[in-house]
Amino acid sequence: MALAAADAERGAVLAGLGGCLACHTADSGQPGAGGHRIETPYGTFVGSNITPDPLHGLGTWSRADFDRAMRKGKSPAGRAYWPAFPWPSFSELTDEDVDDLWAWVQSLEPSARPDEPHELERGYRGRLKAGLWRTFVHRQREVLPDDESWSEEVRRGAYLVNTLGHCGGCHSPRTRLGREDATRRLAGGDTPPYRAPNLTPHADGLATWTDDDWSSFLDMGMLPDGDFTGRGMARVVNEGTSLLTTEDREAMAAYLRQLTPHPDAEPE
Amino acid sequence: MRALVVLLPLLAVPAQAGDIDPETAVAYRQASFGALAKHMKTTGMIAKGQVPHTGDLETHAVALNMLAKQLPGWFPEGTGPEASEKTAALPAAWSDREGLEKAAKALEDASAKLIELSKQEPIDLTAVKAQVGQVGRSCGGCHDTFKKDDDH
Repeated sequence: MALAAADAERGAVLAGLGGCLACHTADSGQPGAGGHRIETPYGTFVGSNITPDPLHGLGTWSRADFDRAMRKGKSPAGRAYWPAFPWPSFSELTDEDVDDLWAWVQSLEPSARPDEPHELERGYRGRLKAGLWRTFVHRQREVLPDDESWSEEVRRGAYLVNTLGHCGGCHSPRTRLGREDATRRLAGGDTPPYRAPNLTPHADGLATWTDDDWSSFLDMGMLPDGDFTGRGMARVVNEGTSLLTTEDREAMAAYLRQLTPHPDAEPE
Repeated sequence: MRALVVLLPLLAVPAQAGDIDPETAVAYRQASFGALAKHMKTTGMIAKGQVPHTGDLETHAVALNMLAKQLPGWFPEGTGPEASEKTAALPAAWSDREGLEKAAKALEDASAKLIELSKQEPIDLTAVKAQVGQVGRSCGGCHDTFKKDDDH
Protein backbone atom coordinates (compact mmCIF):
# COMPACT_ATOMS: atom_id res chain seq x y z
CA MET A 1 0.00 0.00 0.00
CA ALA A 2 1.34 3.40 -0.96
CA LEU A 3 1.98 5.89 1.79
CA ALA A 4 -1.17 7.96 1.71
CA ALA A 5 -2.84 10.52 3.88
CA ALA A 6 -4.12 9.22 7.21
CA ASP A 7 -6.51 6.37 6.60
CA ALA A 8 -9.61 6.29 8.80
CA GLU A 9 -10.60 2.83 7.57
CA ARG A 10 -7.24 1.38 8.50
CA GLY A 11 -7.55 3.30 11.76
CA ALA A 12 -10.86 1.54 12.42
CA VAL A 13 -9.14 -1.85 12.19
CA LEU A 14 -6.38 -0.66 14.52
CA ALA A 15 -9.02 0.69 16.91
CA GLY A 16 -10.79 -2.67 16.75
CA LEU A 17 -7.64 -4.50 17.76
CA GLY A 18 -6.97 -1.83 20.38
CA GLY A 19 -10.48 -2.41 21.74
CA CYS A 20 -11.02 1.37 21.95
CA LEU A 21 -14.80 1.19 21.72
CA ALA A 22 -15.04 -1.55 24.33
CA CYS A 23 -14.26 1.06 26.99
CA HIS A 24 -15.34 4.23 25.21
CA THR A 25 -18.89 3.03 24.48
CA ALA A 26 -21.68 2.23 26.96
CA ASP A 27 -23.72 -0.94 26.45
CA SER A 28 -25.83 -0.27 23.34
CA GLY A 29 -24.62 3.34 23.42
CA GLN A 30 -23.37 5.45 20.53
CA PRO A 31 -19.91 4.29 19.39
CA GLY A 32 -17.20 6.30 21.12
CA ALA A 33 -19.58 8.41 23.22
CA GLY A 34 -18.20 6.90 26.44
CA GLY A 35 -19.92 5.48 29.48
CA HIS A 36 -18.59 1.93 29.79
CA ARG A 37 -17.70 1.18 33.41
CA ILE A 38 -14.51 -0.69 34.27
CA GLU A 39 -14.44 -2.18 37.75
CA THR A 40 -10.95 -2.35 39.24
CA PRO A 41 -9.47 -2.76 42.72
CA TYR A 42 -8.91 1.02 42.65
CA GLY A 43 -12.52 1.88 41.93
CA THR A 44 -14.69 2.26 38.87
CA PHE A 45 -13.34 4.00 35.79
CA VAL A 46 -15.84 5.35 33.30
CA GLY A 47 -14.82 5.46 29.64
CA SER A 48 -14.78 8.97 28.20
CA ASN A 49 -16.40 10.47 25.11
CA ILE A 50 -13.86 10.28 22.27
CA THR A 51 -16.16 11.46 19.48
CA PRO A 52 -15.25 14.75 17.79
CA ASP A 53 -17.84 16.77 19.71
CA PRO A 54 -16.29 20.19 20.47
CA LEU A 55 -17.67 20.42 24.01
CA HIS A 56 -17.91 16.85 25.31
CA GLY A 57 -15.49 14.99 23.06
CA LEU A 58 -12.20 15.59 21.28
CA GLY A 59 -13.59 18.11 18.79
CA THR A 60 -11.11 20.82 19.68
CA TRP A 61 -8.07 18.54 19.90
CA SER A 62 -5.13 18.74 17.50
CA ARG A 63 -3.13 15.80 16.15
CA ALA A 64 -0.46 16.73 18.71
CA ASP A 65 -2.98 16.63 21.57
CA PHE A 66 -4.13 13.19 20.47
CA ASP A 67 -0.55 11.98 20.14
CA ARG A 68 0.32 13.22 23.64
CA ALA A 69 -2.74 11.51 25.11
CA MET A 70 -2.01 8.22 23.35
CA ARG A 71 1.76 7.98 23.74
CA LYS A 72 2.47 10.11 26.81
CA GLY A 73 -0.71 9.64 28.84
CA LYS A 74 -1.41 13.36 29.25
CA SER A 75 -4.46 15.44 28.46
CA PRO A 76 -4.18 18.63 26.37
CA ALA A 77 -4.16 20.52 29.70
CA GLY A 78 -1.15 18.46 30.79
CA ARG A 79 -2.91 16.28 33.35
CA ALA A 80 -1.95 12.65 33.67
CA TYR A 81 -4.35 9.87 32.78
CA TRP A 82 -4.80 6.83 34.94
CA PRO A 83 -3.43 3.69 33.27
CA ALA A 84 -6.96 2.27 32.96
CA PHE A 85 -6.45 4.09 29.67
CA PRO A 86 -3.64 1.86 28.37
CA TRP A 87 -1.31 4.63 27.26
CA PRO A 88 1.71 2.80 28.75
CA SER A 89 1.16 0.19 26.02
CA PHE A 90 0.36 2.78 23.36
CA SER A 91 3.60 4.67 24.07
CA GLU A 92 5.34 2.51 21.45
CA LEU A 93 2.78 3.16 18.68
CA THR A 94 4.22 4.10 15.30
CA ASP A 95 3.57 7.56 13.86
CA GLU A 96 1.56 6.02 11.04
CA ASP A 97 -0.73 4.15 13.42
CA VAL A 98 -1.29 7.29 15.51
CA ASP A 99 -2.17 9.16 12.29
CA ASP A 100 -4.69 6.54 11.24
CA LEU A 101 -6.24 6.25 14.69
CA TRP A 102 -6.59 10.02 14.77
CA ALA A 103 -8.31 9.93 11.36
CA TRP A 104 -10.64 7.25 12.69
CA VAL A 105 -11.51 9.25 15.83
CA GLN A 106 -12.38 12.24 13.66
CA SER A 107 -14.63 10.06 11.50
CA LEU A 108 -16.86 9.09 14.45
CA GLU A 109 -20.34 10.57 14.77
CA PRO A 110 -20.07 13.43 17.31
CA SER A 111 -21.98 12.89 20.55
CA ALA A 112 -22.87 15.54 23.13
CA ARG A 113 -22.86 12.97 25.92
CA PRO A 114 -21.00 14.52 28.89
CA ASP A 115 -18.29 12.47 30.59
CA GLU A 116 -19.01 10.95 33.98
CA PRO A 117 -16.41 11.20 36.74
CA HIS A 118 -14.52 8.05 37.73
CA GLU A 119 -15.65 6.60 41.05
CA LEU A 120 -12.33 5.81 42.68
CA GLU A 121 -11.62 4.36 46.07
CA ARG A 122 -10.41 6.68 48.80
CA GLY A 123 -6.71 7.26 48.30
CA TYR A 124 -6.85 7.23 44.50
CA ARG A 125 -9.01 10.28 43.91
CA GLY A 126 -7.58 13.24 42.06
CA ARG A 127 -5.51 13.64 38.92
CA LEU A 128 -2.50 14.49 41.03
CA LYS A 129 -2.36 10.87 42.12
CA ALA A 130 -2.53 9.74 38.52
CA GLY A 131 0.45 12.01 37.93
CA LEU A 132 2.36 10.41 40.79
CA TRP A 133 1.61 6.98 39.35
CA ARG A 134 2.78 8.15 35.98
CA THR A 135 6.05 9.48 37.38
CA PHE A 136 6.97 6.83 39.92
CA VAL A 137 5.28 3.61 38.89
CA HIS A 138 5.26 3.82 35.16
CA ARG A 139 8.86 5.11 35.04
CA GLN A 140 8.19 7.12 31.91
CA ARG A 141 8.13 4.42 29.29
CA GLU A 142 6.87 0.93 28.79
CA VAL A 143 9.87 -0.96 27.51
CA LEU A 144 9.11 -3.78 25.14
CA PRO A 145 10.81 -7.05 25.96
CA ASP A 146 12.91 -6.96 22.85
CA ASP A 147 15.28 -9.61 21.72
CA GLU A 148 17.96 -9.44 19.08
CA SER A 149 17.12 -12.97 18.02
CA TRP A 150 13.56 -12.08 17.12
CA SER A 151 12.54 -12.46 13.51
CA GLU A 152 10.69 -9.64 11.77
CA GLU A 153 7.52 -11.68 12.18
CA VAL A 154 7.90 -12.07 15.95
CA ARG A 155 8.74 -8.37 16.24
CA ARG A 156 5.55 -7.48 14.35
CA GLY A 157 3.58 -9.86 16.55
CA ALA A 158 5.01 -8.27 19.71
CA TYR A 159 3.88 -4.87 18.43
CA LEU A 160 0.37 -6.10 17.69
CA VAL A 161 0.04 -7.98 20.99
CA ASN A 162 1.76 -5.59 23.40
CA THR A 163 1.45 -2.16 21.88
CA LEU A 164 -1.70 -1.97 19.82
CA GLY A 165 -3.64 -4.87 21.27
CA HIS A 166 -2.44 -4.20 24.83
CA CYS A 167 -3.46 -7.80 25.52
CA GLY A 168 -1.57 -7.61 28.80
CA GLY A 169 -4.13 -5.11 30.06
CA CYS A 170 -6.30 -8.11 30.85
CA HIS A 171 -4.00 -11.09 30.34
CA SER A 172 -0.98 -10.02 32.42
CA PRO A 173 -0.87 -10.12 36.21
CA ARG A 174 -0.36 -6.73 37.82
CA THR A 175 1.97 -5.68 40.59
CA ARG A 176 0.59 -4.27 43.84
CA LEU A 177 0.96 -0.81 42.36
CA GLY A 178 -1.17 -1.65 39.36
CA ARG A 179 1.61 -1.91 36.84
CA GLU A 180 1.58 -4.85 34.46
CA ASP A 181 4.10 -7.36 35.73
CA ALA A 182 6.65 -7.53 32.91
CA THR A 183 8.36 -10.53 34.54
CA ARG A 184 5.20 -12.60 34.07
CA ARG A 185 3.91 -11.11 30.87
CA LEU A 186 0.59 -12.56 29.65
CA ALA A 187 0.54 -15.22 32.39
CA GLY A 188 -3.14 -14.52 33.09
CA GLY A 189 -4.87 -11.66 34.83
CA ASP A 190 -7.87 -10.83 36.94
CA THR A 191 -10.62 -9.03 35.12
CA PRO A 192 -13.45 -9.28 37.65
CA PRO A 193 -15.78 -11.06 37.62
CA TYR A 194 -13.80 -13.25 35.22
CA ARG A 195 -10.21 -14.35 34.80
CA ALA A 196 -8.31 -13.61 31.62
CA PRO A 197 -6.48 -16.83 30.69
CA ASN A 198 -2.75 -17.42 30.76
CA LEU A 199 -1.58 -17.08 27.14
CA THR A 200 1.96 -18.35 27.64
CA PRO A 201 2.99 -21.79 26.34
CA HIS A 202 2.85 -23.30 29.85
CA ALA A 203 0.71 -26.30 30.87
CA ASP A 204 -1.49 -23.80 32.77
CA GLY A 205 -1.70 -21.72 29.62
CA LEU A 206 -1.92 -22.48 25.93
CA ALA A 207 1.02 -24.86 25.51
CA THR A 208 -1.09 -27.20 23.41
CA TRP A 209 -2.21 -24.57 20.91
CA THR A 210 -0.89 -25.15 17.41
CA ASP A 211 -0.53 -22.55 14.66
CA ASP A 212 -3.88 -23.74 13.30
CA ASP A 213 -5.51 -23.32 16.73
CA TRP A 214 -4.20 -19.75 17.01
CA SER A 215 -5.26 -18.99 13.48
CA SER A 216 -8.81 -20.29 14.02
CA PHE A 217 -9.09 -18.37 17.24
CA LEU A 218 -7.87 -15.00 15.98
CA ASP A 219 -9.77 -15.43 12.73
CA MET A 220 -13.16 -16.69 13.95
CA GLY A 221 -13.00 -16.87 17.75
CA MET A 222 -13.05 -20.67 17.63
CA LEU A 223 -11.36 -22.56 20.45
CA PRO A 224 -9.53 -25.85 19.80
CA ASP A 225 -12.53 -27.90 21.04
CA GLY A 226 -14.96 -26.21 18.62
CA ASP A 227 -16.43 -23.94 21.29
CA PHE A 228 -16.26 -20.18 20.83
CA THR A 229 -14.96 -17.33 22.89
CA GLY A 230 -17.43 -14.92 24.43
CA ARG A 231 -17.71 -11.70 26.40
CA GLY A 232 -15.07 -9.05 25.82
CA MET A 233 -12.81 -11.37 23.86
CA ALA A 234 -15.51 -12.04 21.26
CA ARG A 235 -15.51 -8.32 20.60
CA VAL A 236 -11.72 -8.21 20.29
CA VAL A 237 -11.96 -10.97 17.66
CA ASN A 238 -14.98 -9.55 15.80
CA GLU A 239 -13.83 -5.96 15.63
CA GLY A 240 -10.09 -6.53 15.70
CA THR A 241 -8.15 -9.70 15.02
CA SER A 242 -10.63 -11.10 12.45
CA LEU A 243 -10.12 -7.97 10.32
CA LEU A 244 -6.31 -8.14 10.35
CA THR A 245 -4.35 -9.64 7.49
CA THR A 246 -3.49 -13.34 7.72
CA GLU A 247 0.17 -12.33 8.04
CA ASP A 248 -0.59 -10.15 11.07
CA ARG A 249 -2.53 -12.94 12.76
CA GLU A 250 0.34 -15.33 12.09
CA ALA A 251 2.73 -12.77 13.55
CA MET A 252 0.66 -12.53 16.75
CA ALA A 253 0.68 -16.32 17.04
CA ALA A 254 4.42 -16.49 16.37
CA TYR A 255 5.09 -13.98 19.13
CA LEU A 256 2.72 -15.62 21.63
CA ARG A 257 4.10 -19.09 21.00
CA GLN A 258 7.66 -18.01 21.76
CA LEU A 259 6.78 -16.36 25.10
CA THR A 260 8.49 -17.57 28.24
CA PRO A 261 6.13 -20.14 29.81
CA HIS A 262 4.78 -19.10 33.21
CA PRO A 263 2.40 -20.93 35.54
CA ASP A 264 -0.88 -19.21 36.33
CA ALA A 265 -0.35 -16.21 38.54
CA GLU A 266 -1.87 -16.59 41.99
CA PRO A 267 -4.73 -14.12 42.28
CA GLU A 268 -3.84 -11.36 44.75
CA MET B 1 -62.55 -25.48 35.63
CA ARG B 2 -62.72 -26.19 31.96
CA ALA B 3 -59.41 -24.32 31.51
CA LEU B 4 -57.88 -26.52 34.17
CA VAL B 5 -58.92 -29.67 32.34
CA VAL B 6 -57.34 -28.33 29.16
CA LEU B 7 -54.09 -27.41 30.96
CA LEU B 8 -53.65 -30.60 32.93
CA PRO B 9 -52.12 -32.66 30.13
CA LEU B 10 -49.58 -29.85 29.57
CA LEU B 11 -48.60 -29.89 33.22
CA ALA B 12 -47.93 -33.58 32.95
CA VAL B 13 -45.06 -33.03 30.48
CA PRO B 14 -42.45 -31.64 32.89
CA ALA B 15 -43.33 -34.40 35.31
CA GLN B 16 -42.32 -36.97 32.69
CA ALA B 17 -39.08 -35.16 32.01
CA GLY B 18 -38.44 -35.34 35.74
CA ASP B 19 -38.40 -39.11 35.44
CA ILE B 20 -34.90 -38.95 34.03
CA ASP B 21 -32.11 -38.91 36.56
CA PRO B 22 -30.69 -35.32 36.55
CA GLU B 23 -27.10 -36.53 36.11
CA THR B 24 -28.15 -38.50 33.04
CA ALA B 25 -29.96 -35.47 31.65
CA VAL B 26 -26.82 -33.36 32.23
CA ALA B 27 -24.61 -35.99 30.58
CA TYR B 28 -26.91 -36.01 27.56
CA ARG B 29 -26.97 -32.22 27.42
CA GLN B 30 -23.18 -32.03 27.58
CA ALA B 31 -22.76 -34.70 24.93
CA SER B 32 -25.22 -32.82 22.72
CA PHE B 33 -23.26 -29.58 23.06
CA GLY B 34 -20.15 -31.64 22.35
CA ALA B 35 -21.77 -32.76 19.12
CA LEU B 36 -22.48 -29.13 18.21
CA ALA B 37 -18.87 -28.23 18.95
CA LYS B 38 -17.54 -31.08 16.79
CA HIS B 39 -19.67 -29.91 13.88
CA MET B 40 -18.32 -26.40 14.38
CA LYS B 41 -14.75 -27.65 14.55
CA THR B 42 -15.04 -29.63 11.32
CA THR B 43 -16.81 -26.73 9.61
CA GLY B 44 -14.05 -24.37 10.71
CA MET B 45 -11.31 -26.68 9.40
CA ILE B 46 -13.02 -26.89 6.03
CA ALA B 47 -13.71 -23.14 5.90
CA LYS B 48 -10.05 -22.36 6.58
CA GLY B 49 -8.95 -24.68 3.81
CA GLN B 50 -7.05 -26.96 6.20
CA VAL B 51 -8.83 -29.95 4.65
CA PRO B 52 -10.40 -30.32 1.20
CA HIS B 53 -13.73 -31.78 2.38
CA THR B 54 -15.97 -28.99 1.11
CA GLY B 55 -18.52 -31.66 0.18
CA ASP B 56 -19.09 -32.28 3.90
CA LEU B 57 -20.02 -28.68 4.69
CA GLU B 58 -23.72 -29.01 4.04
CA THR B 59 -23.99 -32.08 6.27
CA HIS B 60 -22.38 -30.25 9.18
CA ALA B 61 -24.45 -27.11 8.60
CA VAL B 62 -27.70 -29.11 8.49
CA ALA B 63 -26.71 -30.93 11.68
CA LEU B 64 -26.02 -27.61 13.45
CA ASN B 65 -29.32 -26.25 12.23
CA MET B 66 -31.35 -29.25 13.36
CA LEU B 67 -29.59 -29.52 16.71
CA ALA B 68 -30.26 -25.81 17.32
CA LYS B 69 -33.99 -26.57 17.08
CA GLN B 70 -33.63 -29.30 19.71
CA LEU B 71 -31.41 -27.27 22.02
CA PRO B 72 -34.05 -25.83 24.40
CA GLY B 73 -35.28 -29.39 24.98
CA TRP B 74 -31.90 -30.28 26.52
CA PHE B 75 -32.81 -28.18 29.55
CA PRO B 76 -35.69 -30.02 31.27
CA GLU B 77 -36.82 -28.67 34.63
CA GLY B 78 -34.86 -29.98 37.57
CA THR B 79 -31.53 -30.47 35.76
CA GLY B 80 -29.87 -27.21 36.77
CA PRO B 81 -27.05 -26.52 39.25
CA GLU B 82 -29.46 -27.24 42.13
CA ALA B 83 -29.63 -30.88 40.99
CA SER B 84 -26.18 -31.52 39.53
CA GLU B 85 -22.67 -30.42 40.41
CA LYS B 86 -21.46 -31.31 36.95
CA THR B 87 -23.57 -28.89 34.98
CA ALA B 88 -22.04 -25.63 33.77
CA ALA B 89 -25.49 -24.23 32.99
CA LEU B 90 -26.55 -21.18 34.97
CA PRO B 91 -29.97 -20.88 36.66
CA ALA B 92 -30.81 -18.27 33.99
CA ALA B 93 -31.29 -21.13 31.50
CA TRP B 94 -34.48 -21.98 33.41
CA SER B 95 -35.52 -18.59 34.81
CA ASP B 96 -35.16 -16.91 31.40
CA ARG B 97 -36.57 -19.60 29.17
CA GLU B 98 -37.53 -17.05 26.53
CA GLY B 99 -33.96 -15.81 26.38
CA LEU B 100 -32.65 -19.36 26.00
CA GLU B 101 -35.05 -20.03 23.14
CA LYS B 102 -34.09 -16.77 21.48
CA ALA B 103 -30.40 -17.68 21.75
CA ALA B 104 -31.09 -21.10 20.23
CA LYS B 105 -33.00 -19.40 17.43
CA ALA B 106 -29.95 -17.22 16.72
CA LEU B 107 -27.91 -20.41 16.20
CA GLU B 108 -30.67 -21.85 14.03
CA ASP B 109 -30.79 -18.77 11.81
CA ALA B 110 -27.01 -18.40 11.53
CA SER B 111 -26.61 -22.07 10.60
CA ALA B 112 -29.46 -21.79 8.05
CA LYS B 113 -27.35 -19.21 6.22
CA LEU B 114 -24.42 -21.59 6.42
CA ILE B 115 -26.51 -24.27 4.69
CA GLU B 116 -27.26 -21.84 1.84
CA LEU B 117 -23.57 -20.98 1.45
CA SER B 118 -22.57 -24.64 1.49
CA LYS B 119 -24.83 -25.35 -1.50
CA GLN B 120 -23.18 -22.74 -3.71
CA GLU B 121 -20.99 -23.77 -6.60
CA PRO B 122 -18.22 -22.94 -6.69
CA ILE B 123 -18.05 -22.68 -2.94
CA ASP B 124 -16.92 -19.31 -1.53
CA LEU B 125 -14.78 -20.30 1.44
CA THR B 126 -14.20 -16.68 2.48
CA ALA B 127 -17.95 -16.19 2.86
CA VAL B 128 -18.26 -19.55 4.59
CA LYS B 129 -15.52 -18.59 7.05
CA ALA B 130 -17.22 -15.29 7.85
CA GLN B 131 -20.50 -17.13 8.42
CA VAL B 132 -18.80 -19.71 10.66
CA GLY B 133 -17.70 -16.70 12.71
CA GLN B 134 -21.34 -15.57 12.86
CA VAL B 135 -22.48 -19.01 13.97
CA GLY B 136 -19.73 -18.98 16.58
CA ARG B 137 -20.92 -15.62 17.86
CA SER B 138 -24.30 -17.17 18.56
CA CYS B 139 -22.51 -19.89 20.59
CA GLY B 140 -20.38 -17.41 22.53
CA GLY B 141 -23.28 -15.01 23.01
CA CYS B 142 -25.46 -17.70 24.52
CA HIS B 143 -22.65 -18.97 26.78
CA ASP B 144 -22.15 -15.44 28.12
CA THR B 145 -25.65 -15.52 29.59
CA PHE B 146 -26.37 -19.16 30.29
CA LYS B 147 -23.05 -20.89 30.94
CA LYS B 148 -20.73 -20.64 33.92
CA ASP B 149 -17.46 -18.94 33.08
CA ASP B 150 -14.93 -21.43 31.80
CA ASP B 151 -11.98 -19.11 31.29
CA HIS B 152 -12.83 -17.87 27.82
